Amino acid sequence: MTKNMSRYGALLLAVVLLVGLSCNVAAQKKVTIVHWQHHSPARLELVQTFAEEFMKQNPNVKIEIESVPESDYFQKLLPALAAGSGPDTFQIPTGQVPAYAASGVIQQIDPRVATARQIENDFIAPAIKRLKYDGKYYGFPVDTQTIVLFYNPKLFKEAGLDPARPPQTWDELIKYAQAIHKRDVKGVTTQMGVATGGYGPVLVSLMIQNGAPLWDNKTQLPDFNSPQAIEALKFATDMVTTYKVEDPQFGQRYNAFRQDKLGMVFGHPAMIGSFRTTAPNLDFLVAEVPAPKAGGSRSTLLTSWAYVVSSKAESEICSKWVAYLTSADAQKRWTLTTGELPSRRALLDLPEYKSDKLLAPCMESMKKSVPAPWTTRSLDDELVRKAYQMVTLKGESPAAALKWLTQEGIKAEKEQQELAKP
Amino acid sequence: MSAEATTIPPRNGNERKYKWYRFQKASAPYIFILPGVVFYLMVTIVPMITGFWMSFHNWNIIRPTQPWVGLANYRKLFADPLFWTAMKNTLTYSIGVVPLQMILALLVALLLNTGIKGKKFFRLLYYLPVITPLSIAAVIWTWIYHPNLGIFNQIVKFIGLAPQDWLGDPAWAMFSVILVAIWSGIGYRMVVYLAALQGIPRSYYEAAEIDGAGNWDAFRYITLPLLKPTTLYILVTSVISSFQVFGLVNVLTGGGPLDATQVVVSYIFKRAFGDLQFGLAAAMSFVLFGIILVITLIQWKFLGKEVTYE
Repeated sequence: MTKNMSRYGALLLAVVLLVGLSCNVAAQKKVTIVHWQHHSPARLELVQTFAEEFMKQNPNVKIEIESVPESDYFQKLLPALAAGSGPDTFQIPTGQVPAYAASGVIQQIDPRVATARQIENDFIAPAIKRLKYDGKYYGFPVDTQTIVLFYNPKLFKEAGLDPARPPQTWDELIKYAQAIHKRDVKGVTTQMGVATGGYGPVLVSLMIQNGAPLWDNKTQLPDFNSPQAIEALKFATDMVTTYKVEDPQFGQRYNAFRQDKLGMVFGHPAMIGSFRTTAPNLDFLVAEVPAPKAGGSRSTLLTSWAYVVSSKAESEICSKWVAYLTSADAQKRWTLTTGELPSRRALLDLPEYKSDKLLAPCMESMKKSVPAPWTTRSLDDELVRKAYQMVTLKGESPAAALKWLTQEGIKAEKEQQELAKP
Repeated sequence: MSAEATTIPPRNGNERKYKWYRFQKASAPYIFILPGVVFYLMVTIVPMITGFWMSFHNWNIIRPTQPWVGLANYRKLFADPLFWTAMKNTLTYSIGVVPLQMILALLVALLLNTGIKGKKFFRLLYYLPVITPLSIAAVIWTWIYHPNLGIFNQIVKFIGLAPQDWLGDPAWAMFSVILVAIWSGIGYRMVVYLAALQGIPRSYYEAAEIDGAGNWDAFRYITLPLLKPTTLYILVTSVISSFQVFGLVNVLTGGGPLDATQVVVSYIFKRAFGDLQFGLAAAMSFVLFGIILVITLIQWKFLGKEVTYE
């Protein structure tokens, strides 16, 4: 009996030892995370720093970063995912998350790292709305951007305007722009008042501000055929055609702004970082976008990308890595380095941001931001820009242009919805 | 004595050895071309067949299963007005670029084939655009076309015409792209023509001169006919490459404004990688392939006869 017991005891001990050993081997196994993102020098440098820190904290992890130019990004990413040789973690536009999730190429964020409730508590709703598919979150938001108004205090002063009081309404914006805009004797623009550049997110923001629904809840498809949307597009195109305070022939709007030749320009807060790097001597200020009327809405479109985890990747560690990239500390550094706005609730009211004259209006715009209801990427810019050009270049009415936009938007959205079907 | 004679085993000797020799001799050429054929199959034929197969599916590159849709993609593209706009733009581009590029290339080649001074310098000058990276050329031309600061509008104003937004106005955008394409493509065609010109025996011109032919007659009855194979080669390859234009349009205008410079390949690219409509994009590729094939066959039919003066 005693002999048998000692035999069993020895066997048990051997099994425990073996299990312990194998666990130890597994714990020691080095995990390599291949991470892809589209390229910008400042972003790459920061992500490399994050990777080094993450590898220090997780010695069994090796992170390989590949920064691909945005123009080649999808040409490289899509075939790689199809061939099963894609990265473990990567970024995609948030609107495409449902299509990727339905295709099974990405996996939900590991609940051991962050549960749905935690994500909803930590991040502002517009930043994570499009990351949810089938009740689960498939990524963390990155490169979140709203629309703000950049303005040049020097040109304000020269035009007799008070730089401490940026335009508050659309009417004021036009008046300010008229005061700043200059032409030579032949009528050629030498200094421009304002510019939207016909940029899709700016135009959509104007429509959102003006209370345009943009979405038909019954059909779950885009709808731009509202009086509010028409009025907003008319306002944007009137800057070119009626008030002539925006001149498309003046050249690239951000270059003009960098050269003190443009008074006001609508753009993403990330331009703060760009202006600081490319025009260090430029004196500029930031304001929330003017409201359609006094006391009106200053809500703008929120655009963002998502860091996602490939379905073939090791779930917990890769989720942990993308969570690290969007942690509170990381988001603070993103804001400082690249001008990308934080999407974590806790950060929007930080005293250091509230006292920063450039960042404070951006944080306010973030709180009021609205995500696009559609998933098709072409509606974020390309199609809306075309509708704008139909008015400014072909002289069509805003109503006709938006009718066309609705038709094209519906086609594009249907295609994307088809792709997102399981 | 040739090397072959020393290595051929005698027919009446070892029969096996002789058969092995015959087999080696017959198979050697195939073995030499095998790597090239395998490579060609891998990078051209297999993707072509896959693309054709893809065009009958609602193909989403990242989805594991692809539903069969038959001819739906072809029906969809024939009903797509933007596809036809892109096709019309491609045709405009081709008609605008190919003849002018060929004529100018021939003229430059003829000039450089004479005894002018600085021949090497001019050859280099005309060939430089060919080796200039497209992105750099695009930046330079964007500045040349700049509405306010660009040299193009300065010239236009100097001659008393109204300045234009060359790349931003739908009425001018394609013209501006065509101009850059002509500039960038003359050099290569010039070199091909120059090589062909130098291959025409001098004696033909001497004989014509004795017969009293002038320069124009010599060009018309000797140079031009003997350049026919070269012209055909340049024409066919130029038409094919003009139908496949993408990079230049992409960097200069991105297909805009208002699709005024949207060409078929840029539209295919947009539908595939922008909208994830790979099946539809594959169908478009095959329609484009069919059109190029028909045009090439027509060119062969009408220009394919060789000219010789023996």
